[in-house]
Amino acid sequence: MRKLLLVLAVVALAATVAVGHPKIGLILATGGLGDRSFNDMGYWGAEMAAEEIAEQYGVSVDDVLDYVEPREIADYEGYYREFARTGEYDIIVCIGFDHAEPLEFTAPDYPDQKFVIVDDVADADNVASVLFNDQEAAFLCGVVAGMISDTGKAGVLGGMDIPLIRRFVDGFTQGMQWVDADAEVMSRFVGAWNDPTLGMELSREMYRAGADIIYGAAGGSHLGTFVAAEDSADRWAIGTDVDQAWSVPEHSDVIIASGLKRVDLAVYEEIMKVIDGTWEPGVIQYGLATETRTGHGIAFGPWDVSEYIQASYSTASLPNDVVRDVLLKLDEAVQGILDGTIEIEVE
Amino acid sequence: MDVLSLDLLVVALRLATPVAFVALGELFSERAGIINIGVEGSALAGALIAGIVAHYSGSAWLALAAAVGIGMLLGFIHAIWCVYLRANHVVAGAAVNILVAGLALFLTVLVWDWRGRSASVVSLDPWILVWLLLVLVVVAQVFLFRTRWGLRLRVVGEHPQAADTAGINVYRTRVAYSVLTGALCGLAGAFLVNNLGRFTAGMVGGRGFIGIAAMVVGNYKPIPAFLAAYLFGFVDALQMRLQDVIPSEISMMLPYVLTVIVLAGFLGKANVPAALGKPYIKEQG
Repeated sequence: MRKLLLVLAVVALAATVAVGHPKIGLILATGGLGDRSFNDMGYWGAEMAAEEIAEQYGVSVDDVLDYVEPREIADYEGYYREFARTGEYDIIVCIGFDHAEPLEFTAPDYPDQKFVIVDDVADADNVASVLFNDQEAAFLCGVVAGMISDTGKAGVLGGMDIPLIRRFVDGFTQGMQWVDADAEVMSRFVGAWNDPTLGMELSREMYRAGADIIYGAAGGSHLGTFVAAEDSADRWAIGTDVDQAWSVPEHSDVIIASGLKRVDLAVYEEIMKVIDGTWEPGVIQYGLATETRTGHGIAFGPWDVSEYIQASYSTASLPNDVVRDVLLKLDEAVQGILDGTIEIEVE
Repeated sequence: MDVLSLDLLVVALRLATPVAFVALGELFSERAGIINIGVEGSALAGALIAGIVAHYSGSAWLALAAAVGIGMLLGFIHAIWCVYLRANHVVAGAAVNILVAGLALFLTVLVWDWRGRSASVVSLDPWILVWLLLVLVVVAQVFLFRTRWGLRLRVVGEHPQAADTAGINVYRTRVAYSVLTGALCGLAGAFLVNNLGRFTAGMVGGRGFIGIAAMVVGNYKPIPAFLAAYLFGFVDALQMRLQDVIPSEISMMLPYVLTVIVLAGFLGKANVPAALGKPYIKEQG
């Protein structure tokens, strides 16, 4: 009997402790986990925060972090309500620009619930909207292209012709022309984020038209760019969001650089702000100049020269002096963007 | 840049190949009286299994055989549903599409620990499959209209009672050609994997459905169906070049606008097999 009471006491104690720890709700974009890019980074950021919280409270990560992978945009609202209604979650993180509209609509119904959206603005009093200056990383990728291209021509493969992707095209073009004023940048759009076959043909098209570097901004579709780059020894590719020489190691020999978008750090940051009690709603714009330095950068070459220019897993065979020159130029570009001597214009 | 060149025709052929394999496959099923919209899923299954087998065996040829095999299996299952269990053909086909889409995510996680995508796998020169397609199209045309077997197939789709009276086993004929459809869809999937050197869950991306459309536009005949598929490939290749000239939103529409126009223009006189989609019940002959 006493044993039973003891067990009950322990269970009761555990229950009170369990109630005491913070919880994170994560709602991913329809692409779901497994992209080793945008969605996965959102998850890694939340997981990183959850690990810290779990350790602090002596619980497991699964107790702290709950996530869902909606299949349709239409499912988003149901998940917001499902998470918010319990009142258990200290913060609900929504990954992807297409959350903006449903979240803006739903968030006011739960005024005490904190929400975060990544990549677009949801205008509500209890939502923090995290944006990135995509054009800055794109500019740096353009600088790399300008330094390495022999033909003076490069291409951008976009997923869709939307403002988000236009920021990539504009930034890249201006970066390349900052190095080489005569440089020519062409662009092609796949019309889908998951059609690498079409992405490959469109990339071949641009390579054939004289581009020797193609910057992929088409999600899963620009896997085809890497395959097309393997066709010939003088073709290169530049990746997006993560160091794709790491995420697609089979093609690390053609991926000379990758523009970075640290969604993971941004998500981690927002969650930890809630834990510290410093979280507030509004728009957070990450870029090279932000204080937290969570925003942007580029993975290039073997050396880690600054927080913005990170070492890459690329195995592309560039001579060391070329790599050094590019790194110096990148550093110059970063300083230019920071002190305002370089202004990147976007539509 | 020159918009028209020989190169454009080559790119078009590569883009048309998976569509044409499916079109040819669907043609055999429908000639036998079975509608199979599961061709989209069958092609995806072919691609998935090709990727998995290539990954474990390191043999692209074995992978090709496996892709054909899984296609045949799905074609067989579809035929059992439609012929013996008298299921609605469209619903049965949709079931295959949904099943494979789910399996693709599940198995890629198991095999590559990466949802919806494989690592690079060994692959054949995709042109081998393009040549195979061209040969098969000609063989199919001759088979369908110049051989006894082709005549029997057509009768089964047009008038199963007559075929039955003449001693043709309608059920078995339908099952056999449904299996052949699956095999050709498997080849479509295998082509996509060999072309890209890896599997991704979205890689079929509607090419199966366009294949059905091409078959209808080709009026249930192999060579015209191939030409229709080639037309889609050509317009797709053309729109890539036109993106320089006209806004991408407009140019990307072209293949689909063409589908609508051509289907609207052709459907009226298409010689749809009379018994298409109808279960054959022997006793009621």
